[in-house]
Amino acid sequence: MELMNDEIMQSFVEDSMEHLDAIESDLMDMEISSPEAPINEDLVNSIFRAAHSIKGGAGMLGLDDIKSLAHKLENALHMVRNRELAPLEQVVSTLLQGFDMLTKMIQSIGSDASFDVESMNSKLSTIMHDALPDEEKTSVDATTEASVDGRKLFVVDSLGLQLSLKGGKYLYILEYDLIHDIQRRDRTPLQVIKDLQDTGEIIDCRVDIASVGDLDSELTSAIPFYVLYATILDAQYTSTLCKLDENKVKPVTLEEVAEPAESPGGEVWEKSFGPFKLAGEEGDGLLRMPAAVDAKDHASLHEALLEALNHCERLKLDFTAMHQDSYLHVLEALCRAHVTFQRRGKTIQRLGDAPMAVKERMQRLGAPCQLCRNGEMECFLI
Amino acid sequence: MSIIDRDGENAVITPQTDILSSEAARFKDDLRELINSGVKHLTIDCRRVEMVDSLGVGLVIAAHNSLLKVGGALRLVNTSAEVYDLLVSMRLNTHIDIQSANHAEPGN
Repeated sequence: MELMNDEIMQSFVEDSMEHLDAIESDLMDMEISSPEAPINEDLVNSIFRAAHSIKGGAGMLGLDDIKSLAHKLENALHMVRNRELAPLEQVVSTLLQGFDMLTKMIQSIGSDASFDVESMNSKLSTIMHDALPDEEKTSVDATTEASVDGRKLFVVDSLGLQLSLKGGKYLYILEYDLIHDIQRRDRTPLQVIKDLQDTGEIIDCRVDIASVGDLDSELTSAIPFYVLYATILDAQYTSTLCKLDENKVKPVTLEEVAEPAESPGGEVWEKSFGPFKLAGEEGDGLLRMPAAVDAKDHASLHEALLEALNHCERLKLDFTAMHQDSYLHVLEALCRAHVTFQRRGKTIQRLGDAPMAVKERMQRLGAPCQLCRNGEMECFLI
Repeated sequence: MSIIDRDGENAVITPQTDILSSEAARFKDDLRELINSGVKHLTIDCRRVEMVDSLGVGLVIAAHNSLLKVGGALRLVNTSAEVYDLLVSMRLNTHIDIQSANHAEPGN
């Protein structure tokens, strides 16, 4: 056992050093001189993959400090990749220090050398914290538990999750059975993973290894495979595209742990999503629509609705300020949200009456009604 | 059909074809026989494996679970890019040591 562990550790060190070999020059090449300057995406992705790979290997070997630092570097590079953190001189300098420490830690595995990982992680948190908008700053050091039907299936870092959900994406746990949903449908796991990557982002996944049994068991009839999945598609489309029964596309309950965000809780809270304002208190939410909305605001509306979905039992929509032309721009998203809220036993209601001109126009439109099930739009929006 | 190279508690098994449902029963028997006869450190050399299907994934996990029971460990080496991508995408590398074909083996 010891022999194999030594070999595994040696492989990890060799792999990691291979990844880190050119990291210093890559980081320096990644630096830009102004926040508006374009970034070298291939280079950023390559550095990101190095941190990601080291994090995975360290996790498997129980090298918690190395995993923790690699994870922090990965998050910072994720933000660079998303253009939320400009790789200016100071940022690159901090990343260089982080990778330098990571390299030394890996080279020192098995020795008595000690490293101040906490301080380095704190420096990296600071550059990410400074770059984030106020309402997202608390996510830098927090983790989030993703549960479905009361089962906690994933624990992911809040910042990574937040970055993955940008652009108003929905979050699901897909419950595949490798045998019934893949093998018996003449598909391979690799095809399924590629399809998922084409239509969204796999934030995390896991096979229920314990349920597979061992070689003394019968060749198994079920291998549960759970995927934490972010996509712009609603549950119905996701089910169709992923060739998975709709009841296996489960909306996720999120619970942030360790330094929780300030919004959910017993107190009054308010958050802005572009021009949309969401306020809440103990399960009740109020989403205020702005006067005017155009296509570029759709992502903000998705984000606001997702936030409400995760933190409110009852959501009211306030159209008081909204111009009647803009009303139609938000119709589709609200109809979809209405269906999702209902599936979770939650409610969305319009606050007050819609202008007569809007009612008439929406009734004339007819087509958007098909987006809602059973003509729910009539009782919901008009 | 697999080639087996055994040295006490260590063994390397090299399947000569893909790890698919059609071959699963025979491969499973080979793996079980090795573990039941005292092998604790088992390496699956995947140099001839280009594809692993769902049942193949299940078989690898079952071998991992069997070896855990006897205090051993499973290792996959020389995995093709596709097989490596699949197993890593499924996060199996957080339980099992998986090396790609490009990886330089220690001592080689």
